[in-house]
Amino acid sequence: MINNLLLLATIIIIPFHDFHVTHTTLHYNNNLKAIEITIKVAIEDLERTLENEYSKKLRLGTKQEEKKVSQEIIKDYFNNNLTFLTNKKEYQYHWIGKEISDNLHDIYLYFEIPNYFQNDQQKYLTIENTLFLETYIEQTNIVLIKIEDKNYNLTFTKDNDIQKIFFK
Amino acid sequence: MIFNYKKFNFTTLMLLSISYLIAQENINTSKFKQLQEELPTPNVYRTASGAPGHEYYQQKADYEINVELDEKNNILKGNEVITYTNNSPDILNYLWVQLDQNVRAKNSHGQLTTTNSMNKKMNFNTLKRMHNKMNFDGGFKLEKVTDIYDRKLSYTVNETMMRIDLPKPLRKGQSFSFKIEYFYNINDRMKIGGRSGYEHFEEDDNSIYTIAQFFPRMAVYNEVEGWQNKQFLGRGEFTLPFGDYKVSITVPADHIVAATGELKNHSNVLSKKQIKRWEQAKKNYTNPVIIANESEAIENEKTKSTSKKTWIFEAKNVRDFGWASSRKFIWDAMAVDISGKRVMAYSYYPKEGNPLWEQFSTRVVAHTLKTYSKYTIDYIYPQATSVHAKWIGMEYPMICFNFGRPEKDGTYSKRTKYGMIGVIIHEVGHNFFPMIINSDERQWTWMDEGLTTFVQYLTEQEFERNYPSRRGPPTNITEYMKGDKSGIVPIMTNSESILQFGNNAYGKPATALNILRETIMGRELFDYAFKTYSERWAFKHPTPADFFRTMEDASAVDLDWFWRGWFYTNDHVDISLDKVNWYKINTGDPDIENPIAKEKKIGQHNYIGDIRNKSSITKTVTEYDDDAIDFYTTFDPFTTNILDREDYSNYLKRLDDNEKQILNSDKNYYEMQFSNIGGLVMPIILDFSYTDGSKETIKIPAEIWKRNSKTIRKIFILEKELANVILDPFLETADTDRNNNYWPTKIEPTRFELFKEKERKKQNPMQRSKIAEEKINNDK
Repeated sequence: MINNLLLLATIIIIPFHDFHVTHTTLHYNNNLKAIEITIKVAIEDLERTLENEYSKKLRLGTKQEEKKVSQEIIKDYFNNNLTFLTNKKEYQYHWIGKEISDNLHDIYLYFEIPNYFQNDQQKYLTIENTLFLETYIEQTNIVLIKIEDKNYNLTFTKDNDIQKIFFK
Repeated sequence: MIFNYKKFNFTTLMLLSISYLIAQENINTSKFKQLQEELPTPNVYRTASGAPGHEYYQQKADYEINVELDEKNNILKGNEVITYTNNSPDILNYLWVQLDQNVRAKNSHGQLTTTNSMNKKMNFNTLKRMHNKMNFDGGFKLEKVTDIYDRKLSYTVNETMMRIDLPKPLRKGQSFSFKIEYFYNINDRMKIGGRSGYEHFEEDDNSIYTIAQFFPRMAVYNEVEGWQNKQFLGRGEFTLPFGDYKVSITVPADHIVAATGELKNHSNVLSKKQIKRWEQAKKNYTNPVIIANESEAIENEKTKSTSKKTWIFEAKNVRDFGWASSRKFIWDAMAVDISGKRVMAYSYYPKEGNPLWEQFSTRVVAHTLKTYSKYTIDYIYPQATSVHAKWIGMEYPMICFNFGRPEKDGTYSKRTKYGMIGVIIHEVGHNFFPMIINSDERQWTWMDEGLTTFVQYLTEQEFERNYPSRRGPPTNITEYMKGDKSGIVPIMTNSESILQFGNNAYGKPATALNILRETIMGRELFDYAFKTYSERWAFKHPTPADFFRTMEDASAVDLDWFWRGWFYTNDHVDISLDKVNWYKINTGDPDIENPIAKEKKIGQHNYIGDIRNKSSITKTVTEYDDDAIDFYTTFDPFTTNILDREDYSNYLKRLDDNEKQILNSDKNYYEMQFSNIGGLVMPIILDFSYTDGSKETIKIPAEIWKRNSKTIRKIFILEKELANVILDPFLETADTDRNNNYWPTKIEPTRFELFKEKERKKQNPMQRSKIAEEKINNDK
């Protein structure tokens, strides 16, 4: 990780007066045997973090956005910073799309884990959520999980970035 | 569609009553319990009605300040005379002064108490920032603390506070003046952040200084806290007494200065051309007049004057002072009519702020003053200023620093535009809360941020229809409120201990007030009460209790349950429409009821064996052998005979006219059961759709939960038959789970499903126009 430190040259600046929270909803679709993931993040936080990690200005939702590039970068960043592990299998998720919220402040990212079979063998799910922790010391990441009739409600911070839920 | 259709006897209807489950608790845990134990006891200073009491007092602090900006070294040097007047009945032996700059001193408590940890992915910039912060030599450097005759005063600095020991006790009505000489290093906002500081522009080697907390300021002394003694740790903002200010600001001669108050020596600091344009602006109420324009600002940036100029500002009855200075400034102005009085709206911004700033800033300032004046009190300061400051939004009396910078090529995103308008409304709005209605920010962030955000929402919606407001509508807060409770604290939490600051102190209180206005109290009662609070506490120091009490006092709406739920707990709203039972009255008339009963009996007869037997048994014994038949073989219990009719007519004779009317009314009785899953009690708003296609909205006050806050039942007597019922049809209660809000049951699609659906249907404009063309051809 030391290498990583040296690569980053652009300066990121943290605005004084804002508050950094992401919301992730994980919903198991029993009909499609898929996990549907909806992530809400502040556009500013996302752009700032990705700009810093990938040295690329995304300009999301504007005419200048290169959609293919931003999609690849976002997919890569989230697959590395929000991971799901069950019984030692790590799931990669697929890009579904993104849309900007009505209030223009946030962006919704949609991913899907296809071929996920929730059955008796699935005993637990480990979630690692390190979204934007490199950018903001006070970052809070909230994850709501709905699998069959069970609901889980988790809060991730820098000091608590890996959590495990048990289905039994 | 599943529902129970039942008929009940009229006599049982008369006896029907709702039995409540009464919680067996040792103490009163009712959600409607009055707040008397939570709120402080009313007294002569603060009344039970929420108004200032007959012996209400507040202290006064007047300032004469001289500061000089050293642009080369980014140092601010100053001296001040503070005159403190004790209006309290108490004798003071010492004064507490706030040294807010000390939050940036090395090893300050603000830095020491910031929790952080190394993590494996911490990047270079985060480290760099930590280093910058640690290495910055911030904080006030005090050179002299004396009385006005230059005699040394004994003082003790405790972090961000300084105690000055008074030579003799200060009694009621007495004043004490003292002097402080100091300097401090101005922080680079871009490197270590801060509410104030400077931003340096490499291209033309100039800075924009946005300066605040730049002088030692008096702490508040009152009957609530005594001396305000919570250190400045960075989050809980300020609590300051009112007073009059005279501030002289010495800067390079080619700078333009914006500040709290009114410029008193314009002929010394402005050019003749600028003064002329300024005079024009004072007469122009429709659009901004540019006093220093972009080309002049660009010209001004190119050189640096070595001489200095002193700008003198005065402000009456303000609680603080802020200013900004740069040779990059463009300056425009416009007059605003507030109830017949002229107020000036000013904006200061560099060329980097254009084209956004020249079009919107001053217009938004003017609009904000008008709307906030409408909902609170008339703005009475002479001006309001918006200064361009990248990345921050920060408020001071009559002046605020706001973000919103277009790209270098002059384009800007929709988000940048609305973000900028939103922040200007918000920060200018802070003139009302807390600059005029002066709550204690160090204790309660929500009292200024929440109230400001609430009026910000109203102001945004009046700026543009469907303005993309971030906070205000109830649906925007549900995601936060349904979250993991370990990450959510009640609104009534001290500023330093708040989790999820933006949602807790801005979003939730703003939404709560919006719900009071739209749903609980109604606009008329709410607006009057909110205005009453503003009028009562303008230029005074209100506490949460004063707000809670006034809102009830001026509206005759008991809101204790609402404050208790929304402000003192982290519960959320999730009300479920559990079931709907349908009943009709049994008229007792055998000619009506028997056929119905028969039909019902037949309808229930569904056993598979019986169905098969109908065709498989061609003839039974009684069907082919008449001798096997007796009375009971053919007796139909549902036929009506003369005795049944006589019974019915006797029954009718026992009823009075009123009862007969009810009996023959043919009403539908719907019994509905609701349960409260989230914990917050709220009104029950129902949308009834009838089988004939008509609709009706029913609104039941939250007090329906007063005896049982978990499960309740309610009977609705309706003329028509219901087709479906929606709970909270207009999204006004912040219900976090809408899947239990429908009868017949309906599951709302998730955002994910909606998006996927939308993507599937997506056509590009060419496809769309092709389909449209085909449609026209088909129609021909």
